[in-house]
Amino acid sequence: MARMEKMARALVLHEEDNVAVLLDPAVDGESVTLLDSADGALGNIQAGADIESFHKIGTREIAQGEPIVKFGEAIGRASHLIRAGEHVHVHNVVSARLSGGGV
Amino acid sequence: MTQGGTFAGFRRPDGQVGIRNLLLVLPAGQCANELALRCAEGIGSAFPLLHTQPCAHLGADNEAARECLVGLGLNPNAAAVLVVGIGCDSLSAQGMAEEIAGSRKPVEWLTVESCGDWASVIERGRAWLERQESDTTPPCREDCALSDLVLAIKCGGSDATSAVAGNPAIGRVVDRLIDAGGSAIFSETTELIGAEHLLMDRASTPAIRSEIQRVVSQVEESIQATGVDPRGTQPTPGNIAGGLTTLEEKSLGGVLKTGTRQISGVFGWGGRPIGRGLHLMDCPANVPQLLLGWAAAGAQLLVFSVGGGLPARIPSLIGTNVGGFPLLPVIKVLSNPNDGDAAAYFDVNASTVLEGKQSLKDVAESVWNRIIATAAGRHTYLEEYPAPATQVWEMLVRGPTI
Repeated sequence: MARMEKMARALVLHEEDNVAVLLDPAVDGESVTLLDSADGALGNIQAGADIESFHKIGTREIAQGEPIVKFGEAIGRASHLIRAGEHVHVHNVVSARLSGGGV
Repeated sequence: MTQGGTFAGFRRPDGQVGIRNLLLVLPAGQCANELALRCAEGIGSAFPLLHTQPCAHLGADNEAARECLVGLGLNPNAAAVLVVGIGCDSLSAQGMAEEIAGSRKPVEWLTVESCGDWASVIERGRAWLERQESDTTPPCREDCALSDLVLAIKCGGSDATSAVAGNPAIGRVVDRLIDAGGSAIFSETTELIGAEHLLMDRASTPAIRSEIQRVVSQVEESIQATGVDPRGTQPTPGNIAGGLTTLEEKSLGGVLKTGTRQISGVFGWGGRPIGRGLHLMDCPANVPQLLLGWAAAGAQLLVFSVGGGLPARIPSLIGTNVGGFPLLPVIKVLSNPNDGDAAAYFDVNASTVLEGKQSLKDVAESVWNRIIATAAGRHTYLEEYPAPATQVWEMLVRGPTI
């Protein structure tokens, strides 16, 4: 996971995931390199917000109610439409288990 | 796959292996905490394990507490055990001491009732502990098989880095230990919600599969029954600041530390695992209760995976307050490279994985080596940390308290 250039990197933990974990902070509008766990480049995505390192960036559009997938597993559901490159966190995701309510 | 290897431990008369040689002073109930403190005062290897067991608990909680206290006495890191009580304690000092003495390690019990007064308990207790320290031949370390090792595993102060570095590295270590015939115990049932299906698929029998589902459903239903929205508590504000969004995400990252091997059993707090292998102890994610439960279950050491952020800035043990817990040495593992300046509080720095400086395999090797060295006597960071006071450890109460 050595940083080859100044571009921010994000780690895709599982091939079925629709989010990636940022290894560097991303600035709104910058192009982020997506990497797999073996450090292989999977392509780029444009960050839709300033996002802190180790937070999640959406790697494709996720419809309202659709599962958020990380580790190849559902970690919750989108509470509204999430566009590719958006910060994916408590403002747009609800737990499917202990949310105190549905989407 | 079986891997060889040994560690240098203290073989106890009952066959268990200790990695430390403590004189455990165990109060029968909280009224006897002062007696334990005064008996142990100034005696180097004596550890007064103060706790919160009152007289106000009902059957099941009392039974679990009794099982826990006896289990603590049986823990192989205790070379000898002194049980002190008042005589009117809800749990009998004599009864627990007799049960612990089944291990054939030196055990004594003293109460205000049996000694006649308060001061006599302290006088006789101190004399007994001093004799244990000086008169008996100190046990020697000998080569012990890895199958004698029982590891407790926990994560805390979790953030998104925990699931990329510390937890998967510990998972590899757990797989290696299980393959060598050893044992590991994970817990924190609340933090299995959302990941239980993965654990159920690893159950060694259909009964254990159902048991995993039962304990997770039970805690989930108990939270839902309160009507309280748990967000902000699970995940914690620190978890959320660190990039964890939901309890499912936290759980899925957390179970990575359990590795990939079969789950051989589930047992309740206070109890002990049956047989070797990987086990689940049903207990909430509250550090004092977890430490008591793990030590009572026979674990000799704990590997504690910490993500980063403010929890990583706590030099002592996260989730406790003032004191160390010498009965269960703790190996702290750090994951977040943004907290590299706090690395001195840790025994292993796994954040190198996120910096691309080390592979998971290399970090897992560092954790493994630290475990073997710790088992052979090398102190952990926390064992060297000067605790400013003696902690009173919290027993698990499922209620009601009357």
